[in-house]
Amino acid sequence: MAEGQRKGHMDLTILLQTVLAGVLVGGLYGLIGMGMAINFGVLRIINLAQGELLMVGMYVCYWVFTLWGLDPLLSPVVTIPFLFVLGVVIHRFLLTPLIRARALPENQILLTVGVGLVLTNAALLAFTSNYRTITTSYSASLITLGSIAVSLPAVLAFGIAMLVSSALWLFLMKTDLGKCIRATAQDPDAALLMGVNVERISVITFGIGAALEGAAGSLLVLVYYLFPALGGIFTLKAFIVVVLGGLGSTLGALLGGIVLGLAESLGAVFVSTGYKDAIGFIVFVLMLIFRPAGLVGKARM
Amino acid sequence: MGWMLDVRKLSKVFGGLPALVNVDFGIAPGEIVGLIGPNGAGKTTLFNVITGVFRPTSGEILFEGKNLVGLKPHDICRLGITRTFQVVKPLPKMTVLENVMVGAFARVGTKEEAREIALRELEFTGLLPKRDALARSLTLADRKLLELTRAVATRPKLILLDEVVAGLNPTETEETITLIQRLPERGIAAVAGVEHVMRVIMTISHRIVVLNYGRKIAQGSPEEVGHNPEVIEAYLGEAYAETS
Amino acid sequence: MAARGGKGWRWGGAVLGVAVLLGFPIVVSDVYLQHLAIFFLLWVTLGTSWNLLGGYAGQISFGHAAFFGMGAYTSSLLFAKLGFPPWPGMLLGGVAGILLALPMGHICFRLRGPFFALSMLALSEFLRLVTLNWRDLTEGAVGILLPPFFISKLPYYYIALALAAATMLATWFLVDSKVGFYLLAIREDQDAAEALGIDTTWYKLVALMVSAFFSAMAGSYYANYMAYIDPPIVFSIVDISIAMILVAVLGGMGTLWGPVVGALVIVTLSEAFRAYFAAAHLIVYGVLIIVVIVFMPEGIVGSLAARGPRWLRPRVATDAPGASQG
Ligand SMILES: Nc1ncnc2c1ncn2[C@@H]1O[C@H](COP(=O)(O)OP(=O)(O)OP(=O)(O)O)[C@@H](O)[C@H]1O
Ligand SMILES: [Mg+2]
Repeated sequence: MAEGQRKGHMDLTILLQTVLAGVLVGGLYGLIGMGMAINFGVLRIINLAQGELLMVGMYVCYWVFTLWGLDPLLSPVVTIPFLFVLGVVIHRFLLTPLIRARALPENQILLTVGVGLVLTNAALLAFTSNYRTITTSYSASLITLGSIAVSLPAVLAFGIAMLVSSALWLFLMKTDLGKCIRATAQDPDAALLMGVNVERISVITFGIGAALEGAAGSLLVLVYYLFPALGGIFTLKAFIVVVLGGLGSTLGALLGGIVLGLAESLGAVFVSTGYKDAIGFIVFVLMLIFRPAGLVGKARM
Repeated sequence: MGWMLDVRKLSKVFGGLPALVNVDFGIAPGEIVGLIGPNGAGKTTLFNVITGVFRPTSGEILFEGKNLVGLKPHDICRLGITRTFQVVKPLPKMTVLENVMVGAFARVGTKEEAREIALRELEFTGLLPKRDALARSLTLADRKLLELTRAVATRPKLILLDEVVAGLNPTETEETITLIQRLPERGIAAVAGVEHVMRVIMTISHRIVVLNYGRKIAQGSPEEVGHNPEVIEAYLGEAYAETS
Repeated sequence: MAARGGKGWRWGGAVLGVAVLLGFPIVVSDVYLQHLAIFFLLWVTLGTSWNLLGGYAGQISFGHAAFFGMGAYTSSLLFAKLGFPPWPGMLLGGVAGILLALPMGHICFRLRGPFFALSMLALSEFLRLVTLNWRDLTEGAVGILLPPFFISKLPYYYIALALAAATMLATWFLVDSKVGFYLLAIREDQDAAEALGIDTTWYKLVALMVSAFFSAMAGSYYANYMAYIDPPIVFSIVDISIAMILVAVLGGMGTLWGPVVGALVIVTLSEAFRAYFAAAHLIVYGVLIIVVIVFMPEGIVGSLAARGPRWLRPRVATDAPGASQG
């Protein structure tokens, strides 16, 4: 609760601390948003099960930690392939038939809603609605810089999120597969003419989009608690991040994530914690009004 | 001059790349103008700017003395300019009749009136026998015809036809051309945009405007334009006289 | 055409239908069944109002709970704070829905792409958070308790019936007019619609306002009937927003009767499965969405109608009498 706060007494330390915390969590939001952005780039639809994939990633991370003691920081070696396969399966068996049948984009989005509901409720059946957290040896550690203290897990999560983002960027820029993905995102018809197997690329991209949520899930577990319904919350956050960054832009998503993280963190301190998530919405609406093409994109309607 | 549509110094730049540069031209009531230009010359862009899809970077578009710049496509349709699309845009899950009724509703308010207009225009273009077919089930030629019917049903004074005959076989081309030639008797002027200099367009057009790289490089009667060295150059020896 | 022979059946069916609907709660005195019938009617209202916007105009909303909750809170607060009578309050609830729809439509309908669909989702989440946190006004998570207005379910039933009928009549009236043609044209191709003189932003806004009005009225009704609301219930993404979509999609988007069939299926199924899956009964919704989208994208009514009578087909019926060769 924000009761004891005296507005007049905000000093620089609190401001810095808040900004830092916002940037750190924003990096994670960015990673989560990148999964949605890369999917949007190729599929041209918003995957509304994106947050649910993240939730699955978090549960996978939770269980490999609880059962085998695998440290969350190492768990991406499990969560990334697991989610990749899950993404490929979802696309191959559910989305591909729709795309082949030239279903309306709305129907494709609705399908992802259905997938999200199934994932959430399957998790509810399997793991109950209990909140879970992971406690590692470093969970409670703090890093202090002068008078500012930040939690070590948050810093580690941010660092790894940046690593994964850079890896994704290199992959998209330097590898043939990455180039095919970018070509498909730019113009599927042209890519098809150039001999790109657009359908295969679409499936793989969806897998990558899901794998990014796997990585993000492994990291989010360090700083957040885990429950089945969390997917919906993060789908919405991912969407806001993606709009902030400009639909479909992966680098934009990273920037969008940091902006959202900052807005939430500043809002929680200077307005009220209860309204933290509402602030994201306000930022989002302002974007829609003034810069619908995203923070870095050229405004075009 | 008695231009109905008067385009003055029109320019459109897409992110630094000019698609139209200081284009000037006019259209008189009931006139048929051929707008020719090679791939990427700016024909579609010109139509998009005139019909309000894009705002011009600079220049004026006067229609019956009114400046169209800043108006939305639907405003411009109501003022009397409509168009067809290079990539046809039928309303796929509606029938042919319903498609044309949508056009007719631009001028009337009730279903009965719209239906009456639509049936009349379907008769005019010869699509009447297919009125109950779903638009998505039509052949390309029929879809193009449907777009033209729908456009006529909005009671325009000017129709902009984007790539009227692209993808049509010689018979279908002939039929379309005949139809366009009949537009002036309905009080409708037309701009027929085509990529190739085709004899058919040369024969029906009162006047030809040639675009290349976004600039108007020639205009005049079909003969004048046909012998203009710059035009021949633009088509790199592609003989304009190529049959249909 | 067969329409002439079908006409007598249609009138007969209509009279029978009205008689069944009016007589139901008198003949069936089981309170639980009456309750289910009321929920069925509520879902007809919600599914139909979503369908006008999503099915006919093609503007999919993932957050219609925003309107539902807005209606529920408006009439409940008017009663709790000002003593404003709750049934007329329903109308004001509907108006509040329109007031919410205006800025949303204004901002989102200019933009192409998934903005509207997801902005609605964001809006309903925003309202949930605001009602949860603005405790001075809304009592926050405690919710608002209203006194029950009637002992018997009969008056509730007839009000729900009137609301459902009004929503369907409004939809039918709109869809059967120029507006209906315009909404379908917008759904089918926006650029073509604009070129044909349709102010697409305005007509989308009209559909949104009508849809919001009835959804919000349904929210007010829900509050009055259940005599209790709290933010997670009335702004629920799954139980309201997605369920509304499901009702329309399952029954058949862009058909008048689709949401009726959809509501019947949903109310029956969710009652049946609540016992098996408890809190996770929504898994059934998820599976249903997937199955319908993959195997029956036109919905139940849409698929049947493709083989059935012409007037059922998922588009505006234009077979007015006097059609040449009709
Ligand atoms: N929306 C747009 N954004 C960016 N560039 C565009 C856009 N529309 C057209 N262009 C560019 O403007 C130029 C003119 O294109 P336009 O489509 O008007 O030519 P055209 O004469 O219709 O040719 P075509 O025969 O291909 O139809 C091209 O270089 C094209 O790439
Ligand atoms: Mg063109």
